[in-house]
Amino acid sequence: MTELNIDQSTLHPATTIAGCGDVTCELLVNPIPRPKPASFQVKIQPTKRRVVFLDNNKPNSMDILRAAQNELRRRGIDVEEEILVKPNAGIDMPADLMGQLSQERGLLIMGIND
Amino acid sequence: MSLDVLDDIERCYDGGWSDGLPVIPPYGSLVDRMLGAMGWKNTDVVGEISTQDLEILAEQVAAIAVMAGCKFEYGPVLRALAEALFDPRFHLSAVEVTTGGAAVLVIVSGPVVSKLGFWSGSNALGANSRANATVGRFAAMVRFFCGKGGGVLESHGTVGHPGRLGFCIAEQPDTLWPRFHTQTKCSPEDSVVTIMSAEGPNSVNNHFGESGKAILDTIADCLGHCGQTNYYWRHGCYTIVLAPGHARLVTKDFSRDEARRYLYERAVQPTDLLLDLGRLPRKPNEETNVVPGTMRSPFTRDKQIFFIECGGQGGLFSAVIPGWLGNAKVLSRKIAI
Repeated sequence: MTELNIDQSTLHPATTIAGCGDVTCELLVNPIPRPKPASFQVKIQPTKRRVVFLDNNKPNSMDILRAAQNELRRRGIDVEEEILVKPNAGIDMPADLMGQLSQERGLLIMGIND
Repeated sequence: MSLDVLDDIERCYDGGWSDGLPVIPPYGSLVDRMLGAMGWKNTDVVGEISTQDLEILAEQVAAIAVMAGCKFEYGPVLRALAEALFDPRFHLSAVEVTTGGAAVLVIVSGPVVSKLGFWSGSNALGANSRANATVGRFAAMVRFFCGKGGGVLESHGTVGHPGRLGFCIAEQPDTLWPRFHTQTKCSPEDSVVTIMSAEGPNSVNNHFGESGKAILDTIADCLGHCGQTNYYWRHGCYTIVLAPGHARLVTKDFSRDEARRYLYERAVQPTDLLLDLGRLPRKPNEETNVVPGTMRSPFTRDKQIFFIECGGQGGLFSAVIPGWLGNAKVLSRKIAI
């Protein structure tokens, strides 16, 4: 019987460890194989002429995104009014937000900071 | 050993790179030497577990060999052993995660036993020799590190057994019957490593029997006790360990094929008893061929029984090592040594 563990962060062994041994520092060779990620397709051309912004809570990012919104609108480009927010730039994207973004057909701009 | 090395051992613990015991830190320089001994390049793909989307690289296997404490000269044994472990028929992930708590039993036979110092005498099933201990640990660590799908799967062994830390036995150099690996269609003169997934060994004591029949009847009683996992699906293979005292009596009266057939016919229980005890379901799967009113063997054919000769001269014991029922294959690989 097998089952997937959802909280993999507590199970995954380290990917790299640096050791210092007797003589000199060298990387220890990771003995544990990792699953290959499943193949997926990426479309680099948006199918809808629209821009969506995602704020990642970095310093000044919201101000920059608002300014970018205004500039794009001034140039006649459709911009989504709501700016989505990723709560913490240092952790993985929440699954529900990722699911929402995966359905977006416009151009997504994210991860801005000064 | 410097304190720095001890720190590295602790780092391996902290990173989840351990089977519970301290490991030799897999420094790149040591892993490179082990790769050379195994005859692989670091990026060679030496195994694949398709159900887990895993590719296993040679450098990962070599790192495990270093961590287990193997000598570089064991390289050819480890390579053959790894090839057997990654054979899809062995179902490495299933062995790791089953509720049956199975281990990888490693059997080494032929000239390599003496050449590399594998121990086959007293306490043969738990030998305190470096070759047995580290090669057995290597197989257990490959199972643990690779079988868990890179940390994605959880193991569900209900009770498990100590062999999950390492379970390597060697056949004594001079045998009364033909060598162990002739049962897996290898040539007698070869050096061979064989694996099977196994439960813990059951000891069989008979100090006063005076015939091969008496010894085999005692072994059959152990082999066929009601708790044997194999009674329902009957897929697993069993290894009978004959220590010298019992081997002298049995081989005097029986050929190996005769002994195998004898055990197959006598290691049985009434199907009705197994049903009453709950060892068989009331509505069994058709494939399992449960027939009330008949005697039932934990095997469907006598070829599921294997014999090995090893152990000490002192007492009169044998052992039964039950195979895990989810794995019907006993796999042998010739060692290029």
